[in-house]
Amino acid sequence: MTEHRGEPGPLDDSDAQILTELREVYRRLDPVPATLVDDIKYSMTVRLLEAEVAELMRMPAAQVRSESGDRFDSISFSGSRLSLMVSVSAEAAAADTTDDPGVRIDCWVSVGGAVVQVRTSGEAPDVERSQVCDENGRCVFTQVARGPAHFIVWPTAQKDSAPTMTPTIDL
Amino acid sequence: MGPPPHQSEEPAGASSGDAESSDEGPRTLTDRAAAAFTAYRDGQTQQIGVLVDLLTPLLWHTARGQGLSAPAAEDVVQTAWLKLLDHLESIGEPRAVLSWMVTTVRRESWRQAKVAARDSADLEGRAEVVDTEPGPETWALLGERQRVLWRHVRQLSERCQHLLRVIAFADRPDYATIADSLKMPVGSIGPTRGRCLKTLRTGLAGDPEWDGVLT
Repeated sequence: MTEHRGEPGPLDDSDAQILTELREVYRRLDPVPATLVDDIKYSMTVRLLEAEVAELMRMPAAQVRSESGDRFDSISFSGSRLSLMVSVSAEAAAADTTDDPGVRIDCWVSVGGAVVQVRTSGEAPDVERSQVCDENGRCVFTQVARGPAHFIVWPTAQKDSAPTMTPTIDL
Repeated sequence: MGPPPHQSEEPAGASSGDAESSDEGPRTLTDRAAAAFTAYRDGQTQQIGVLVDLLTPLLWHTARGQGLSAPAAEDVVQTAWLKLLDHLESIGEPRAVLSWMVTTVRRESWRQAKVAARDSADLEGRAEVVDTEPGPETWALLGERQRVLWRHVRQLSERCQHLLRVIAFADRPDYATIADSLKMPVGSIGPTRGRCLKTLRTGLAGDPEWDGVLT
């Protein structure tokens, strides 16, 4: 490396321009792995909630048909304290818009009165939505954005015990 | 995790569409990280996700710049974030969170490199060092001007490459603090240009293939 004598001088706009271009070079040559940020958030959430991570029991490839004829994906998760089954189906698009209406998620928890939270991340800002299940452990989310998501389930509405967290799935 | 304003790697002020860098909002990466960290400690739990979005690109390049493989760098960055959760209270000043994270990643990267070096009996302590020289496919990702820049950057010392690589993901007022966190000598960069950037500029200025900003 060549050494140059003399004072380097204060940082100026040309320096800023070079560093901006250098940032773009590194972003292209060595981008942050696509899943790293979500993996970090997931592991931080597990730590913060002292959550148990549930096991994925059935792969989303298991597509079945609902009574109305819509196709949906059914997935089960199993933890030591509770189990969760979710069925994901496409929402009907409104006639006057081309926006993706997202998906409907029907949830069944093995204990009644549980709180289910769905956390979605993707291109849109991360979103958290919660529902309290009925005494049969059933609750529904509508118009959930597509993309990576995971579920957090607290056994009671008071959230006074450690939750169970599912792996991330693609809605 | 909370709703980050975006998932991009842009630091503050780098993109016009970034609401966080508006005139009213915090301006530098340090400011924005401090704001998210303060909000998180004040009970806005989703702000920890904002902090992760803000700092992970810089931390990734901190680890990779120390020669770690991509999987090792992922481990190091993830570990550093989990360590932050264990040290929330020991970081007194919210503005210190950026340097705390950079320092943690630097130390953890060094530790990982040392373990890997021991495993592979590399006395240089740089096992798992990855050759970041781009192959033909990677080279094709760069434009003409970027290739010229890259060629000159590769001629810098490893420490200079590491320094410029990391601070490229921050904002000007943050440079000196980040350089300090990377254990670079005082005056490496900010408020003065420092030796690394001066050498790079001198090289570019003498290269007929590089035009524009230095004339």
